[in-house]
Amino acid sequence: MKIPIGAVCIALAATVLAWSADPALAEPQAQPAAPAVDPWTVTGATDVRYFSWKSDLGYPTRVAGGAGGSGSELYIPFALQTAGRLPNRDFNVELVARGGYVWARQSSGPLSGEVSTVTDTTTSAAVTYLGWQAIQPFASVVTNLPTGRSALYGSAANARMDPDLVDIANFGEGFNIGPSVGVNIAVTGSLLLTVSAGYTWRGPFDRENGLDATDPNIQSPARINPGDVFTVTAGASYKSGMWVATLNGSVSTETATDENGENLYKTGTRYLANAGLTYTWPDTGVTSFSASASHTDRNKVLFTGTPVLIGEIMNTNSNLYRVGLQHLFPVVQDKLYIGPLGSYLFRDHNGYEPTTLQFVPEKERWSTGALLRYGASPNVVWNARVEHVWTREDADPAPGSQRFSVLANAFVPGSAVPVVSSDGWQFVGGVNVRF
Amino acid sequence: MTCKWRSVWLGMLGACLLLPTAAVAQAACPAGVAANGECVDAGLAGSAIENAIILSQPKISYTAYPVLPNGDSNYRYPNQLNPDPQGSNSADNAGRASGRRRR
Repeated sequence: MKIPIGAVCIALAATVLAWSADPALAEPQAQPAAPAVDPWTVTGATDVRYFSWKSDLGYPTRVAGGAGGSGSELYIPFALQTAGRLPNRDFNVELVARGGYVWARQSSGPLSGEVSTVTDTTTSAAVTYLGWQAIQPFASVVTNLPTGRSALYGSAANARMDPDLVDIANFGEGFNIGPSVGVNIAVTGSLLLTVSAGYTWRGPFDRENGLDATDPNIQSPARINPGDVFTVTAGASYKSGMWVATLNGSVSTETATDENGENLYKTGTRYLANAGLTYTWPDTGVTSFSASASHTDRNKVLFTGTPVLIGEIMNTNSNLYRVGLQHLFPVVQDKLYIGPLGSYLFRDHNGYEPTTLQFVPEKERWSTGALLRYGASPNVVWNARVEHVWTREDADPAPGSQRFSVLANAFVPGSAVPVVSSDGWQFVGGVNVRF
Repeated sequence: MTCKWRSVWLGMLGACLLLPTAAVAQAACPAGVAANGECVDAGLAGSAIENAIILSQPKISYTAYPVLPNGDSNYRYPNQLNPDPQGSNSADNAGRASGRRRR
């Protein structure tokens, strides 16, 4: 495994800085950067995350050829955030840059491969105007810089693993830039309504294969130009006593995605809702609950022999639902918190018949584990997490070793996939340091 | 001076006149003032803005959103619920909709 020296140096530097900071009382949790009147603050953070999994089949399951699978991944993200006020103190500014290093390996018979690379880099610049009563407009520009690897030639392509078992399943894409504007409407000091709109220009990138390829070992380089995305959001945040509640929703529409200069598909309109509820107990810590759901309308797709995209007959996209719950017990008040966490994710089967090529079976993901948070000083917070993950994907039949392609209007060869069960472990350690 | 430019200058002048009033409020309320005159809760406001920015850019990156790593748990799952043709999340269905599928 080759690890870039730069990634290791940044991780070590953050660690050394963390240990050398002055000890004192600590905040139990690093909150999202909030507007502050203090001088500019700079926060550095890094994690070391290790994932290990095994499964009845390698990934992707349709080409695993009956071979059992296993894999592992090391992911080291690092980020720097600075926030403060402009000379006109009504303007709050926040800047974030984040990079990372990832090593991944799958060992699943014909689907074995390894990759070692820096990840894509993301940046964010946001300005909020706080000078008006009740109305707080904000604007931001977010980018994805293509410092990772979008094309994985040879066996490296097999290092793309099930994203329900590892954090990084995609090692790079193109240059993306997304401006957003929005406004916080402060009805009271503890009741906020927020609306925003964002447009994401997504740049082209190369891949070792087309998006419709199934076997990572049969490669044909392709130029992908992903669709741009327009999103509007609305949210509400409310705090009362020990309760904090948030509710957010968004609607996204997308332009067509091209491959080698030709339209390939256009994703349907997507609807997302998520909610969070946090309660701080008088003496026994903090409980947090979250829930998310998403639905995507039918795509427009390219039927064989047709020159333009046409609305698909059934919906390729599944609905997804997820709930999570965690509690942090205070072991040493305001300093050390430990507690359990768990989550459940459900993906329903898509709209196609199980014997068709376009069918996507139902899938469940369970996780349970423990979380630790240690405030070594007012400026240094350590985090650790261990999780065990289980997934179960329903059978994907292929009677007579064939599937019917609705789009090609023909039978194509295929292998039946039985119920696939996987389980994995995730180990995370990290630190936030405010300078 | 055209009517258009006159309107712009008048608008800027109005904004300048309003700013000192706002600045007075700022000194007492770091995160701004609510409609009912209360100081806005700074943590709540910061969190709401971060949520809005990230959720309005759902496909800015399939590696990570631009947040500190310990914030990933707040955003990983909204991200996971996005259909991604590269198969990098739970909704990796879009690639199956192509008529040019090779199998």
